[in-house]
Amino acid sequence: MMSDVWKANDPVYRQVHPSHAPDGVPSSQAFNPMPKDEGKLSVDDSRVVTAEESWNHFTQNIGFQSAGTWSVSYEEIETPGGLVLLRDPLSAPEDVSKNNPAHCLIDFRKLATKGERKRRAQHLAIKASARGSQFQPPN
Amino acid sequence: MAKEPFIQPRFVGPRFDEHTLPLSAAKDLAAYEELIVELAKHLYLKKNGDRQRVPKGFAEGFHLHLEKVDPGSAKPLLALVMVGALLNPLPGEFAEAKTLINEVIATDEADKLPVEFPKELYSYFNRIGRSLEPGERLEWTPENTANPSALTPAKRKRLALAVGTTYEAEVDIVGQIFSLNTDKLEGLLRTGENEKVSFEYDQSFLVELKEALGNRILYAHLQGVGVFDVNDKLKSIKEIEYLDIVPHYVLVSAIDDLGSLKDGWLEGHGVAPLRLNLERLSDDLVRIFPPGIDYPTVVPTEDGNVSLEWIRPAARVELEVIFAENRLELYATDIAADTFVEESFDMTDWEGAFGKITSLIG
Repeated sequence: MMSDVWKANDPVYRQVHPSHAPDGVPSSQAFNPMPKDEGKLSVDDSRVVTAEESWNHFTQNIGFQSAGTWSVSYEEIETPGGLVLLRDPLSAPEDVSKNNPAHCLIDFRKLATKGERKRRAQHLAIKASARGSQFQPPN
Repeated sequence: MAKEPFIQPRFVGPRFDEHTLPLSAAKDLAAYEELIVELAKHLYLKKNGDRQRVPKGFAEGFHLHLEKVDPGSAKPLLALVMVGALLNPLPGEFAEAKTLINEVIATDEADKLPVEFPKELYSYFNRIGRSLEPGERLEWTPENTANPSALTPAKRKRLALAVGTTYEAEVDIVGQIFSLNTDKLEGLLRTGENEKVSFEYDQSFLVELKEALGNRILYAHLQGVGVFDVNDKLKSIKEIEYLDIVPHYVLVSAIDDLGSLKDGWLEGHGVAPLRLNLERLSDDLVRIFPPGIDYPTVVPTEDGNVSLEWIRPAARVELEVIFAENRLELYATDIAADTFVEESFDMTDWEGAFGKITSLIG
């Protein structure tokens, strides 16, 4: 079983909707939990899947759209304070292809205001954009 | 005046399912008529090597008329109308020309082109079939199901390139007017890729082109005839058929694109932005967007609002437009300076919001 302890440089993968990266660089919206996320941002653990596997699962098994896989490190998530990375493996007995043992959550719920959440989302977007896309689907 | 059927090609594609022909297709057929005449003249002179020119009246009265459009998808009947000085009966070279053109169009990529077809006439394929869009075809012998001499955009390009290094095709492009030569009626368009493409224009477009000349805000949306190389790179624009001058086109079109989103666009969630809200935003920005700053990335939010974001290597400046509350929310992070700015504006105070943004992105 995968541990809940990450090294500082361990990345987690984030899938970005094409509308949130229209110019090929993820906007801050891609790292900001939406109302549907209830304060928790879905990512995949790089210790379990590759960037390509993460994209494949998201687009092919789940059927969602993604412009590519971007990453942020454990240190970038936790160091400024306020965010917590949590393991959250998903199992779907009715359709095992949707199982996702790599699934994790970046928990924004300790941040009380929209401004605080925006600040942390922008920070993650800057870091992910600086690292560049970790996987891009073929054209 | 006599009339008889000459050829009945078939336009195939969704645009022709109603058995009608777009007017642009008429240009294709007009070019075909010219090619028939030129090829018939060539064939006559080749047969009669002692003659320098065709007999008087050889082609003067040769005219193809669009008699009707039959169903399936759209089959225009081109009737030969013989008037005036045309020799009677019609010289056989006209029928030979029709057959030879059909043979040329029927060739596959691996086939040799008929040697009887003169090289200089391949340039007509810059015009014949130019109105065809991807997925469409123009069958010249639809009754021959094995090989209906189908002209497709790809085949038209191959034939036009048979003797040259460029081909002509319809072009739809947006850019800024970099320069104009009003004597030669020529100009340079700077495209979004920062390349300069030369164009020729008709006098009727001069006023609008001059208005856009050197203006950083005004973009020219051109449709017309482009000249492309073998790699489909646009080399020049030889004719403008449509011109529209659009302020802040890049920004307006990015906002307009959000109108294609449907409810559920974001993983089953996501409210589609209201068209009225997008139009209001475009109108506001066209009126107020300051000339000194670059265009932001435009993205939708899950709740149907729009975010404008200026992306820098170590900073983000985000202006969220909350339509229902008539509010603009500004959030800006600079990780190098370790600063964060949060400010709210009424949607009538775009000047205030842009003043702050300008100070942040410098």
